[in-house]
Amino acid sequence: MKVINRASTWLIVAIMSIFYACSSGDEEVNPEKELSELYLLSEHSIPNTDLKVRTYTYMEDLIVGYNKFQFLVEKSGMSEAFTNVEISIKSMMDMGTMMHACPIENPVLGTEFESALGGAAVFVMPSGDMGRWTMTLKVTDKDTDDEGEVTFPVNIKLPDEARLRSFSMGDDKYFVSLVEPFQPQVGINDFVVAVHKKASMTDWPPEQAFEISIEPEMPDMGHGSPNNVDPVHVKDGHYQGKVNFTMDGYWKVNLDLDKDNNKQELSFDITFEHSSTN
Amino acid sequence: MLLGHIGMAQTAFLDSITDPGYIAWEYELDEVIIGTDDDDTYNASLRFYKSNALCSNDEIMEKLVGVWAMKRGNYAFEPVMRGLSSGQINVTIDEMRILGACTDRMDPVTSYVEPNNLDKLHIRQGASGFISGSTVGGSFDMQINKPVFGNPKQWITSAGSRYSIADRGFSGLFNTGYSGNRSALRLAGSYRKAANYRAGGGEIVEHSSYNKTNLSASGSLLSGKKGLLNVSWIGDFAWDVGYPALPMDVGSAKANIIGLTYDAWNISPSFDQLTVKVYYNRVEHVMDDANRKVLVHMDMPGNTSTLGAFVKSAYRIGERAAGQIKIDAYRSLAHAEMTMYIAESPPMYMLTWPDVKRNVIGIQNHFAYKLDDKTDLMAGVRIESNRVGMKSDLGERQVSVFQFGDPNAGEVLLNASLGTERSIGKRLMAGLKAGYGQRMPTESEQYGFFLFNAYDGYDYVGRPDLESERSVQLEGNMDFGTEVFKFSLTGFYYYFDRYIMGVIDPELSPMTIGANGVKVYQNLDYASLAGIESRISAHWRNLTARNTTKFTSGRTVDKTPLPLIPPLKSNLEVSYQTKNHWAFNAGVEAATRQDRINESFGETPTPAYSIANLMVDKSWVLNEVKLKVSLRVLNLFDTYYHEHLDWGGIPRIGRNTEMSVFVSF
Repeated sequence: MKVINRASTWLIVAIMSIFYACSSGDEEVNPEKELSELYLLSEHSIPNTDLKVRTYTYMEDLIVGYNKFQFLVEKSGMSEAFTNVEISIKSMMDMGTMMHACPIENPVLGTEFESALGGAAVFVMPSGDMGRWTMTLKVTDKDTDDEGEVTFPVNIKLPDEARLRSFSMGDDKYFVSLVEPFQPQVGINDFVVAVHKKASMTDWPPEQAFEISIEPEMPDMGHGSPNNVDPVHVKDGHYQGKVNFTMDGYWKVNLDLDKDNNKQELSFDITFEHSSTN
Repeated sequence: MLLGHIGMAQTAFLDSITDPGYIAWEYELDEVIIGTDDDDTYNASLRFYKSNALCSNDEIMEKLVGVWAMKRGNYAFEPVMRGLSSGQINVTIDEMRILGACTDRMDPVTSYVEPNNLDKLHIRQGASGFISGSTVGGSFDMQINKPVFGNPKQWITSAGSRYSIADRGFSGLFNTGYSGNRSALRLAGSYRKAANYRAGGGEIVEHSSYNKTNLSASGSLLSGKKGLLNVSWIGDFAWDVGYPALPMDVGSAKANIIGLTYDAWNISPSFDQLTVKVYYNRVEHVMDDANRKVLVHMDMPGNTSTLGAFVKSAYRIGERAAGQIKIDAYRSLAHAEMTMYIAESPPMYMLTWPDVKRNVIGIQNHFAYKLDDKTDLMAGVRIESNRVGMKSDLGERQVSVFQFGDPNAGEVLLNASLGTERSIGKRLMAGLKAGYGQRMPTESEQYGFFLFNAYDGYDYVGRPDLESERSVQLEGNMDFGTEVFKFSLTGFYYYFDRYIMGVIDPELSPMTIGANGVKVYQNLDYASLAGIESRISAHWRNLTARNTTKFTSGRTVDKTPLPLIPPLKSNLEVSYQTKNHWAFNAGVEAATRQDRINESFGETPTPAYSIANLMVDKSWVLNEVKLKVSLRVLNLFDTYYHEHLDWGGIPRIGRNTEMSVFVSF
């Protein structure tokens, strides 16, 4: 009996270790797998370093408004993603006679993916006859302090529904970009806007001093929805609240922005249609 | 007297084709409770009003004691019992649960039975009326005609046709029955068609036309000497049904109702009868506003399906006690959605019944005991598990917006009743009944999503965390009867706890364009109903007079009148029959003004009215052929009126002359 017991114990251990091996095998290698649902925008080797950077976007096209990125870095000779790295983004629009930048959120490791750096850029106008956008990544290998830069063109399109609004208040010009809902649906949705100030052609800092209230409506029907939560500043110019949609269709979210008793109204159209998978 | 009624009772049939011969087995505790010798209150009325085979169920319903008909057009009235309707009462066909598929209650279960199919009404008022489910308001069970056995004439067929002027309405019907010794069959069909009707004074009520076909088939086999197997199907198909009170019409409404029943009797000295039934029904309802001039076009399809079964058995204990025990179960699923179309915008979509699933199982017992020659005691109890939930992810997300409490996934419901009836002398009988009842919120009350109600013009939102409605009730009745004169008087008082009612939520904006606002269903702390009903009938030679009068009054927690309560209403009919088959009937129907209204509910007063009806018919019998020709003038003085419960104050039909012919052979 003892022999049988011992044999079965070994058998269990053996089976378990096979499972363990399989599952741990899934976790490593192929670092791109978890990013596979995003869109690969570009892949660049960084001069003066052993690094290669892949840039992923959340939409097929980059748009005027808030664009999220993920950056995955590979180092030659390493099978895993390289994470001891610093990336800073610079985006410039070349309008011939002048150049300007746009609000940037520099990448941080592990925002959504363990081995990738998440960042964002708020493009403030589309590419076209007016000018061309470029994006520059400055990458630092913190193991070696090697540093290099890569610049590539990006094509910025106007989305069907505007996700960026701008206004002047006093001498300042502000840009409000819609961050969430990114995939709106019936029910309770996060509502996040990012507010940036245009301090100069190259300096677009986040602005945290606004008080914001929201009110969604269905313009075609003339009704709204209950229990919305006004966005409040969390960090980096991001204001977070909740917006509730009671049905599919065309919604308009009205915002009241208030700073030092100066008021500004603006709105975002948000349309989503019923899919039978609901 | 009690035991005389218990056991096998041969039920008389109302339809001219269904001669006695078929034996129906029914435990007639009801009749005992009501205490009249011949029949219960409702079927006596039913028989009386069904004298014209081509009149509609709605007309019959309106004249019953304690029953009103709520109207949304010229079609499909919904029964209201003592001010209670919808989920507060259980409307069934042969004790089968059916869930209308229209979120606006355009398709009450009563619309699936045509008069030529209706055999008996089994109505029990109040919390003691648990025939097929827990209830606070009672049961309204329509028993449909069954095939007849052993008739000397094997095949009987009848057909009839009616034309009415005010709605240019045509209806035709046929029944045919085969009556064998071991097997029997009954087929019936009807077709009704009406154009927009003319209200009193001449106004044409737009969007009030309809088309409807009702088919039914029922076959029975005797199995041995003690068993009977029956399979029945009802198919009800309506199309292009206009609803003047609503911003939409019905493109099509389909109901298929199937039941399989096995009856056994004389099982043992203690068990007289056993019934086992399995049933299924599916209702599909398509509402749209294709024929309306509206800014936003809407489609509102809905469907329900119900699968159920029950076993019931009548038993007796000794010479003095008898009862009926029943175990029943059903599961239902309700789905309804709404899509709105606006030019140049994407369609707007929502679920109005987000796949609401209900599972119910219950056990109940009605028991009667004969204390002495003069006194009967009655008791009943039902325990029911009623589980309800939503199966749709979209529905979950929709309702999450309101941030209600945790959904009420179900409760164990209790119904109980206790009563006594005592003879005082030879002609007087007095009864007293106490009851307790509970009911779960309906699909709409718990999960309905922005359902527009044209009665008050509000959008209604259901609350998943609603609790069951509970009621304690007291009822007393007195019956006096001689050969020529019968009088009965009933008084009742219902106390409600957690009464379910829509309450205006000023924070919410309505979904329906032009709606007055949004109401969310709530459990009110308290509501009460009290009322009085009387019935008088007198027979003298060939002359019969009948009167029914009903009155209900209700109040809510803040002492304001309870909404949706009809005013005092009375019907008087006098009929005279000659020996050579002429029959004359004159009737008056009147209701007082209803100004006990709830303004914060959005209710408005309804004026008093009275209307008069006249009817004459003549029958001929030639060998085996019977022919009957009728002429009726309804609303003789062309009065412009509506009843308090009618949606949108839409006027009822004006003077309407009807001609009908009915033949059977």
